[in-house]
Amino acid sequence: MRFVLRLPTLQQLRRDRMLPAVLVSVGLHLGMVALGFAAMSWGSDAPVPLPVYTVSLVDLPQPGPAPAGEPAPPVQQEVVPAAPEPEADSPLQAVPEVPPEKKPEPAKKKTPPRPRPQPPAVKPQQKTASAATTSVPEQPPAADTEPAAPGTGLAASGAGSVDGVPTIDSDAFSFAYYRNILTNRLRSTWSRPLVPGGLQQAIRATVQFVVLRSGAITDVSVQESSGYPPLDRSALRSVFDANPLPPLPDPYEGNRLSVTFFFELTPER
Amino acid sequence: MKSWIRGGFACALALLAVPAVLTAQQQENPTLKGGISETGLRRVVIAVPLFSAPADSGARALALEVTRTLRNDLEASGYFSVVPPKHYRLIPASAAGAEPPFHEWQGVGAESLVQGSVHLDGDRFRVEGKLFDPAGRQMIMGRRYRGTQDLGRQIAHRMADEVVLHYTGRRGMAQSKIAFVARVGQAKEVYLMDYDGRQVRRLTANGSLNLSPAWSPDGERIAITSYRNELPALFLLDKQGNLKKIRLPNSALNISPDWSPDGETLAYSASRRGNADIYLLNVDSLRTRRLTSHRAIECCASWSPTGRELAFTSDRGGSPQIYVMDAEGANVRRLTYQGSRNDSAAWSPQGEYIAYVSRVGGSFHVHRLDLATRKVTQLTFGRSNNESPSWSPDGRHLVFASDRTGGYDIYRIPAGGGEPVRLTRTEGASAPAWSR
Repeated sequence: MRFVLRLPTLQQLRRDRMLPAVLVSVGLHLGMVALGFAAMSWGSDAPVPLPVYTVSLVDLPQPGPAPAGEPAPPVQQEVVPAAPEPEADSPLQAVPEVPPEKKPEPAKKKTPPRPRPQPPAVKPQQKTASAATTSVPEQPPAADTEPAAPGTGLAASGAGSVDGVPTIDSDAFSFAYYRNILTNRLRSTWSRPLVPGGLQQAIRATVQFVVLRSGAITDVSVQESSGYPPLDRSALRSVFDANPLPPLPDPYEGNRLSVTFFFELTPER
Repeated sequence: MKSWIRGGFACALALLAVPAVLTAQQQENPTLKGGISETGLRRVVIAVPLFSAPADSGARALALEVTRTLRNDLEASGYFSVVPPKHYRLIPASAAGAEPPFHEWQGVGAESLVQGSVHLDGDRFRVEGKLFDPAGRQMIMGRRYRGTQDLGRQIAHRMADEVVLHYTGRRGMAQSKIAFVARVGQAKEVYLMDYDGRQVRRLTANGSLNLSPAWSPDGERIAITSYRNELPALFLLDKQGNLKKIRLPNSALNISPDWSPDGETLAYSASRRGNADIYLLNVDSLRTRRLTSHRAIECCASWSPTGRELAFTSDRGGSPQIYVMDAEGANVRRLTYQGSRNDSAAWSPQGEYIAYVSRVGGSFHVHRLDLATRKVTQLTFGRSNNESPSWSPDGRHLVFASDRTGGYDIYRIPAGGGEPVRLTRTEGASAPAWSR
């Protein structure tokens, strides 16, 4: 049995008065194909949502070394008005709010987020066959059925200064109490991800963010991925949940504070 | 290590308590029940020495009032533990302008320090307060206030909120107000007081029944139910104490208002055909919309902080229980299954809890439902009645009305449970509403 596809000849089409219909049909199909190509090429220009951790703050154009505002006076002036008789005429009278603080300039978004090279991160050694951790150097065998070690390593890291904005560990920011509050807050908002199969060695996600004078957190990014996305995400979530932090201390002269902070999971001993 | 010890201690206590509770129950004696639920937050130890003042009786009195109010506010916030004032005498006074003796303050355990001074400024006063970190030997924050003698408490409340803000990132509750209803002869009038029960002011004086105050989110107005015109109707009370009736079409028995978070809509209950249902009212256009149309009695709606849902009481299942629905009236779900009678839902400002009143044995007690885990925590205990819970603006405390001393008064309690603090002494106070 043979199937033969016979195309009608031009004469046949003319004879059957099919020619216009065929031409329209062919035209339509070509049009659709062209549209398809157009859509594809247009689609490739569309902004593709990038994973958060590819954004680096290091390339931020900086507002320059903190002289943005005059140094805060040691005692800020607030005026409590001599409210006449609160009883009689204004029982609900609220004292006017604190004068607004100096507005920090908005962080400029750098245009094309440059993908950071994935660090040769320590991958969590996984017992399952799917663990494609080929690049990891051979680890000493872990104690067998060790559960995922929700480690507790958590500390402020003294990564280098992001030019312009003092980092929390630089000499320009010498407020130990603030560092303690920050550490405690992030510790309490961090829920540690599970690592199926346990860890061979510590993995660490380092995030970076900026604290404005009001205490609001902005410009959160993963500075260095742990190689284990759930840990990176938990670190980001912890920072988001810690917002807002306390206002920066009055004597601190800058309007922004850059923070680098790592979240570390360590193997259980 | 410390937490381990604490854990062990708690276990030991629990072991000791269990047989005691059992025997008590067997003997039909009153059982002691209690509970603590903490967020794991450790209080910061703070020292607040008496504010210095010139040798002027007015200034000294003001200094004392500001200092005492500030200590009380910081302790009540739940974030601080104030160093007992008797320790302050051991610390040598520092010269004006000199830095405080930080190591001495550390010696009495102070992790934080507020030092202040009162100055005469013509016929007014100037109050300065500075917050220090003794360990870092640094100032954290400094504020200066001017005012007359009668504003001492207000100044202290503001300073307390600033201190809380500088340790937590969130302003404290010291400047918030509580509206409540108190009996005046045969009438019930709406009153206002500071969050600590001080500075009580009367807002209505019409000799009728004025009930169920509800704050607008901006704190400018209070919606109430008043029987001033015979039938209960909704009124708006402004900060001058002026009462304005909300004229609703074919109004009949309009009660129990609650303000939406955006301030545009009031949820309330109305019985138009002898059966209470929940309605929404646009405060500006006065347009109403019926949300429930069940044959059961539906009442006492409380908005979620997002404005997308409402919690309310309905007896559609046979007994009054707490339900939730979308702000469109759809998607009704029952929330409470324990207790034969649950009422007075109040949604927490952060949205994670609903406080409500449940009958336990013969009396009513405040409970808290965790919406994520559906875990119910009983917050009040004993034989008294505890009703009408309302959340503090920071969601860390609740106020309620209780008859534990015989007559009803207003009490404050940590939202995780704890010892209630009595705020009023009227023997007839009810329906507290904490400002946002």
